[in-house]
Amino acid sequence: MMAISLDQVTVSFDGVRVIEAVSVALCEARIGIVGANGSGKSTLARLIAGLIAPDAGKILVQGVDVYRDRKSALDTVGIIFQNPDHQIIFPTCTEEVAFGLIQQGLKRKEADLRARAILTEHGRGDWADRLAHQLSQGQRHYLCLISVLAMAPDVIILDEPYAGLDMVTSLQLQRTLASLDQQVVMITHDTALLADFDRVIWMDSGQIVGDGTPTDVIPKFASEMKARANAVD
Amino acid sequence: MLSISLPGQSWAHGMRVGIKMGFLALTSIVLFWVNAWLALLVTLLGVVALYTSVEGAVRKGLWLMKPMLWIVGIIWVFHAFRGEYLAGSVVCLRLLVLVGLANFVTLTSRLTDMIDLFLWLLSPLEKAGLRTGAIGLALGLVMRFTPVLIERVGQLTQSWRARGGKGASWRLILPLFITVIDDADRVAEALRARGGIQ
Amino acid sequence: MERNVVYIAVFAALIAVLGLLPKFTLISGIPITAQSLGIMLCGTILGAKRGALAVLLFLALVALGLPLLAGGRGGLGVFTTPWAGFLFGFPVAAFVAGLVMEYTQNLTVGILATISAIIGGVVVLYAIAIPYYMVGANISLWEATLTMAPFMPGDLIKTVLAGLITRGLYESRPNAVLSRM
Repeated sequence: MMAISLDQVTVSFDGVRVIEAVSVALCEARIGIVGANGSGKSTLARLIAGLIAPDAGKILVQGVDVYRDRKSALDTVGIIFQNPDHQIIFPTCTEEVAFGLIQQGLKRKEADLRARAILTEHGRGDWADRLAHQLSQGQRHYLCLISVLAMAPDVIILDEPYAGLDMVTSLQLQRTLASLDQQVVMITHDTALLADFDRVIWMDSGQIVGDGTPTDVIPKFASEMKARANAVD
Repeated sequence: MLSISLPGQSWAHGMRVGIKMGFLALTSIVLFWVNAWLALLVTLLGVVALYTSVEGAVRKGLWLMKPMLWIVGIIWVFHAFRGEYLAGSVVCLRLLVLVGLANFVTLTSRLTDMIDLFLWLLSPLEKAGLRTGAIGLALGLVMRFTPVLIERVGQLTQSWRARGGKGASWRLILPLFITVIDDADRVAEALRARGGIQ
Repeated sequence: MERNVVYIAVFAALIAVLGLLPKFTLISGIPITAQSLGIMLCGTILGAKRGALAVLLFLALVALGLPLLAGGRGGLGVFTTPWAGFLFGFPVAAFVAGLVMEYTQNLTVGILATISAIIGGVVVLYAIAIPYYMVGANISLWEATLTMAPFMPGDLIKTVLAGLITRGLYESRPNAVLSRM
């Protein structure tokens, strides 16, 4: 089964076409998405996560209509946004991790125990009763990742996961992501991070303008961005 | 941040805000003493005429009035229960005139002009220790922050929905406050770094 | 000084944004907005003086024409309605809630915040709004109370939320709860 498949997907916001009849099948284990701001990559991430519906076309993740079938979607795809501060909802770490589990059907007590176990598996058992908003920035990033991993999705989408991280945290995150079994789709500006990826998709003005291995796509992308930067004079 | 006022340039837009406000205040006081329903009805028609003289005012004015109409209806019913049809009508008409006029001033006054008038009215209090500079800054900060907060609510709602939550939730209020206060601390720091509030 | 001004401005914005959250409908069919929760929180978190200033700032901007009231409303018109008793009562409500918050010892933050919210945000607020409505609409006290009564259950729920949120904030960011400084 194709992991992520888009078929003539179109999305418009306020009359502006943000994604323009995109068709693509994403099956590789590590997929990167690059593009200038406004290219539609964040919208694509939200489409795959099932947070927005296409205005036209069909999008399926492992055969699941992630927008309509939210229940199956929770088991299939997870998304981590750029800024952990804008995602953490609950006061304590355990509650934050348990939230997704409760949404997946666990009872409160079970979810609590499972959340604690998951934190311990990640070597962060001492976070269990700590307040999420008292963790450092890098630690909050990790909490977001753990909260999503706890739901055991098959696909994880990351929208600019390294923005604002220091080097140590950045490297730790890279190591953790490299070890994941899930399919990982990562949107990033930092093309160096995609060197070991299987496939890179370059989006511009709502369409896919580049699609291939990192060595194929990234140099072309980089020189185009350079040209645009120089053109602004 | 966008104010409710209508864009464009009508005769009413051109009139000085201070004069419009003065007229409004005067009318409010005078109307307090008027009890003849006919006089009030005529005045109301006059207000309607004012609205029709400005493009777009009727539609927006009606939208602004919508919640009022419920209240006016309830008030009239209470009076009707007591058989006070006339007195009830007088109260309702007066309300409609007042609210209509006040909204008309808002619809035809630019935000910057309103802020200038507001700060000008407060300026005598500077001798009493009021810092109008701080107030002007505070007004700007609220307008700057409100869209940021709206976006923050959107982001938190997204995080909620991404993990299966439906709709919105009161649980989003606490993280909203926490992140907003962190932003506030940073803004205060940035202000101090640029000399602080004089 | 800067921190005070920025906090006051930020809380004024929070009152506005809470009004924009989707309305919650009680079993009785009355829609309630979270806006008055914002008023309560100004008092319980910022304290009496700063809380009242935040609310006054909010009202000033509404008067100046910004659509900050629940439903995207604003302008001068709302201040001329019989409902305006709530608007004039808001800063007093925040002030009183803040006073109770600042001067009461021996109670935990959460419970104290709920009590402050009840005293300021419900008792004092309705004590101002109901007579104002009575005079403005020229109806009896009984009729005025009857009109306002459906909103009280919602407001009582909000006082509980005010307690939970104040306590939550006190645990995560104690320095931000100026009423306890």
